[in-house]
Amino acid sequence: MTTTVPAPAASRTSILTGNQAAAWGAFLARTQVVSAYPITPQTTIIETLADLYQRATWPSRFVNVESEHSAMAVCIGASITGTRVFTATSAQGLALMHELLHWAAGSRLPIVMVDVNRAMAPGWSIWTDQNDSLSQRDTGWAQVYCSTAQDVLDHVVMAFRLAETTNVPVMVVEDAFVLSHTAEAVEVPAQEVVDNFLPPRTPSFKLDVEKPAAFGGLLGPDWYQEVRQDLHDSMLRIGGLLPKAYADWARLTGRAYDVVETWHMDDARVALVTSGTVSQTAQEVVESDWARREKVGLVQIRLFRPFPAARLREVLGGVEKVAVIDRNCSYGHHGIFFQELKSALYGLPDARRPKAYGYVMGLGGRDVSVESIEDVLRRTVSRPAPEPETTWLGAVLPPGAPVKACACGEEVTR
Amino acid sequence: MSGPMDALSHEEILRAGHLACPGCGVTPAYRWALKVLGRRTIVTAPACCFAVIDGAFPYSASSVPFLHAAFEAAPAYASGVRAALDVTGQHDVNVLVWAGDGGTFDIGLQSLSAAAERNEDMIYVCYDNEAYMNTGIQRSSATPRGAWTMTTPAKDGKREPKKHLGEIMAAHRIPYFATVSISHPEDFVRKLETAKSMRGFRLLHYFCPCPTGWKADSRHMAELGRLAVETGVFPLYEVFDGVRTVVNVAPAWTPMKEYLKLQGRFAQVTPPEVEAMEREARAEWARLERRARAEAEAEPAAAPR
Amino acid sequence: MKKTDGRVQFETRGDLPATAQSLGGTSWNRTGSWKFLEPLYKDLTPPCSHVCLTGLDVVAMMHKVEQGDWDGAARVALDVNPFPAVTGRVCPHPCEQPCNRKAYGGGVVVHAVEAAVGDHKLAKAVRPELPEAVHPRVHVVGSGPAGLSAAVALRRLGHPVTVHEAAPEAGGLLRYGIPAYRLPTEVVRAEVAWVRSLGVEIETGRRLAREEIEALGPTIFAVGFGRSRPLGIPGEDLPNVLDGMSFLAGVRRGEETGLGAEVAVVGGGNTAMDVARTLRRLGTRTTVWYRRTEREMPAFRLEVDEAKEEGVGFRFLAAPVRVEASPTGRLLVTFVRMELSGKDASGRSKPVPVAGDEVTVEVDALVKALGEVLDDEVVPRGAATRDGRVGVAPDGHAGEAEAFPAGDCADGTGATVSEAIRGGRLAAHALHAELTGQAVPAAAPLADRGVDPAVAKFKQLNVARFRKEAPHAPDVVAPGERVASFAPVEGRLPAADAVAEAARCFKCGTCVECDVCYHLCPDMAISKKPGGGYVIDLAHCKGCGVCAQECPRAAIELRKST
Repeated sequence: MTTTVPAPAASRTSILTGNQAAAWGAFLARTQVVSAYPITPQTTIIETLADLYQRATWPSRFVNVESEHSAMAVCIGASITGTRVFTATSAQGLALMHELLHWAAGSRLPIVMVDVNRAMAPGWSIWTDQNDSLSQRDTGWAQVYCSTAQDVLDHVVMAFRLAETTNVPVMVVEDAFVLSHTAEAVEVPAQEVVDNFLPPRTPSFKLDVEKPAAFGGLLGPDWYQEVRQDLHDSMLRIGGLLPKAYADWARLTGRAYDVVETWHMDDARVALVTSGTVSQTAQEVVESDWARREKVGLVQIRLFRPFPAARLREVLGGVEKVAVIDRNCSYGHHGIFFQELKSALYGLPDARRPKAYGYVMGLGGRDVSVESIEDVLRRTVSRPAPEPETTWLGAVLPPGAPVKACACGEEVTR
Repeated sequence: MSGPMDALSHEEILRAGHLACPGCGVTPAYRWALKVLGRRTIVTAPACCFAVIDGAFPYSASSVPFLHAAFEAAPAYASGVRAALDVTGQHDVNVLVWAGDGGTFDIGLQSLSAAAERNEDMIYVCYDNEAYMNTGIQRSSATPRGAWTMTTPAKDGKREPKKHLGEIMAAHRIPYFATVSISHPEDFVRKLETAKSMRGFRLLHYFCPCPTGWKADSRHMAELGRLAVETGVFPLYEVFDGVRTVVNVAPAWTPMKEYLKLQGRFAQVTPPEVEAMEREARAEWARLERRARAEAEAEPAAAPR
Repeated sequence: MKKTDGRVQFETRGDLPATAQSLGGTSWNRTGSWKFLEPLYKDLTPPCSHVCLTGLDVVAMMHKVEQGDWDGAARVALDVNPFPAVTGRVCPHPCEQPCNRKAYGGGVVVHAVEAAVGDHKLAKAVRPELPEAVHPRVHVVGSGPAGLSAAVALRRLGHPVTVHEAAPEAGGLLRYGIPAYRLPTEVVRAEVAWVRSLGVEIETGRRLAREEIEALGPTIFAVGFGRSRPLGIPGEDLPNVLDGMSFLAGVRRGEETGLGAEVAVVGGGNTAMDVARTLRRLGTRTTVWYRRTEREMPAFRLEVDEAKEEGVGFRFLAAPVRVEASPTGRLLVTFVRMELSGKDASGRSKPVPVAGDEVTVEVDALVKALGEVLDDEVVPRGAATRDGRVGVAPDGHAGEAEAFPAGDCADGTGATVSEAIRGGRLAAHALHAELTGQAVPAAAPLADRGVDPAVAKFKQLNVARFRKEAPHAPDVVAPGERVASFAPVEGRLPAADAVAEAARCFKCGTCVECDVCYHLCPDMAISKKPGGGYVIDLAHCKGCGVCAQECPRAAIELRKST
């Protein structure tokens, strides 16, 4: 499918899917080298980009490779030679890139990638969940989870600034289909707006025949740890840089973001914690009469790496209960946002530390509906303690089917 | 020496103090290659002996930019480098991939094939020491039949023949493929010059004796290359555009045992196996000659320079 | 961050780059500590020079020719031999026997290249460095190869020189002994002219008496041989029984035109061959009679072969016992059959006559070529003679006489022109030392450039670096054509061929800066010195030994690392 999108002369509102928005973000950032490999549901990003690059006014190259692995390799080569690069993938493709994600981060390359959250095979699934991106948690990439097409466009642009300021690669994540293929009204900023926000890349190091150096050679025990600590420190800097970027972006576009978005958290007794498009649905839930009565607030985690632990402690300290919806699972333990959050809350004094209830649901594209979120909240409100800590919610069984206990002790139910 | 070697600069781009084993065949070739290509060259190397040879952080033996790449992906890294050079107007900078046989024949074959298919503008040199030497001598698909390695320890060594890189690359119809040997420096440099004069994907398959992994005396580094050419084990030829084959050095048909006896890795090879190796070498040479002849007859006007 | 001797030192964590980026080269890493062997440039003696009768640095000459430096090549020759145009033609070139190239396409045709170098010397009048003639004038008696060689050597040592020659033209054996088909007269004349061009005076046409020679003071005595050895048989005095050397001289003077239809030649040396081949050119059926077998003949092998090609007949194991006049005015020569039994003093098989087993042939003439001896009448008093030659004391004197013998007349000199040339040079040095008290170091071009006395063997060479190509040899005139004239049997090697042949020379044991070691060194441990040659960086050399193994010429030795 070829998507033709007219280039706006000034900021204008277009009807774009999440994928088209992602492509626009990369294009407006004047990305010089794009390399990607098609995978559902990412394909329309690169199709849109291929089309947009037909009219790029700056020297650019679109490298059609034979695998996601090579896509990331091309990005590494192009980035370390000093150019601004972009790629996008999903699920199996991201998993195939895994080794190179370490290379990109370890090489300190400001690559920006959009990952369309898709469930991992087998069996084949093209529908959304977060296990693909969260499996890459420890590769040294910053991760931002978007919930709207506008989010995606804006965050792709902002990701370049974060990446190029810190030399840490950034992954911008959007849900398959519900975001990637759902058209929304998106304000596409004018090129000048993006140019004001994002100057051309000025790399602090690169492959340069005038200043030759080797990159990536043998790094012995004497220095490996220090070099990695620098990656860690730089990643942490993003926690402070992103709010600054949000502020600048808001000045230019009028759109404000936060690393952690909140609704009704001022007097919340129960907090619902979400990420991705579930947050959009959850916003509806927390506006319900019941939710308002029960003082349910909503927290959307946008920035996952670096993890905004301090901010979350600030937002959630003193809340009685926290319910975390994970569209993913670290098998044998918990949902990943849940465990990350719980770890962050450990830093609160006992009196202010909420009880944490984990819910794994919506895997493989299962709809996380208003009703299922309400179910999460009712369970959380009604249970005095999170025992067990994680509940799997979701399997729809025929009426009268025998109930089978889940390994974690929770009955599988709807 | 003569001609092309005399024309080489005396300026060393590869520095001493590198970490190659004594008598390693890779460094002279790398040295010549950089002398031909010059300082406006960027090298990309996957995991391979050379990734160690070039030196540990914070040092590099290469005084040109050098990018270490993941084992399986050097051609793709290099494609990225090429793309970046092109979009920043550095069209004159050579991109050189310097990869071992594992990174070429085995784990890197996919990205190699893709870069070849895209006809990426780069020169790829596979230095083929016929096994995973950096990890301590394990079989690769470039290991010849009969050779001992740590993972073919049985008394008959590796049972399968060496994968045919030349035919794989010819099938990609790349502008230029050539085989080169340490023992024929003039031929090596001439072919690199030929490659340098062209654009697109060019690959040199360099037969790289490894005294350590072949259980040979370090001083026989070049001798091993020479005997490989003389016995027909490693014929020297070029293929233009995948369809025009030119044979360069006819084997002297030195008895195979002269080549084998210098190497402990072939110690277990029996006389009938030696004969079989000789037959294979002759058959391969005959195939090459037939192909060269047939192609020349089919397209006399398109004969290479 | 600091760098000490190329090594990076991080002082704070902030010095560290964000990624594994190199900050320096590897040269600080002294990989030379890995080695247990190390290379050493050491030239070995090439087999040709090892046996050269003049001590010529053959490979040095070949290298110059290969590079097109003909003047340089001539100067290399002149260091030991002023007459390469002569030796290139008449020396038996023992240098070609042990040539390592023989086993790889064919031995190098050294003599033809030498002749070409000599011809260049003559054509371009290439001269050695000549100092002012500040020393006393010296005299040389005899202008053969030894005399002329001595004259040149003395002139080069700063002496004015006068050469005395009895014959009308200078050159001695070169002019009147060796047939023109081996050494053309114009080459001899050109050499003599060249000697004169160095300032040497040559007086010809008057034979000095013994007293005159004695009156010259310290003198080079190089008169050659005066007469042939007698047969010592009845009838030896008959007309048409001739002396070989006289016959050859007569032919060279243009006086002798023929001895009849059929001639017997007695002897097995080079003179016998020269006589027989000359006779064939005069239209004479010729048979050489020799008392031993072909194997024992002292003549150069090539001479024997070419004589056979030219139709010279050979009868072996036969010695003349008497000569009689035949009724028709010809000669009846009777030979007795010989057998070989035991060894004689010279180590050769000793011929013993078989009594009664005789054969008589009728010929027009008999030529004696049994070897020559000194003419006692000119030997200065006080000089001891032995077996027809003048003895030479260790200091070069002829006994008590103020004469320094050289060439054929000097005891101990070999039978070749090359040895005579060398003898002339040595005698000149001895004379110079006598006159000035200054010893002249022996010309030893190989030793002078530090060459190891060990001879480079074929198996030490890396012949793979050479093409297996056939020699570039001069044309040889077909035997049938040869006997029709005294034109040279062997043609001249065209200059281009000489260059190609010189290039074909392996230059065994000799570094010619071919760069194989330099290009193949895996550790950049060999670099080219600005003035030529190489320097080995032992701090980085890992001792792999590739340079020594690959050196085409065995000019690098591997030894235990120190």
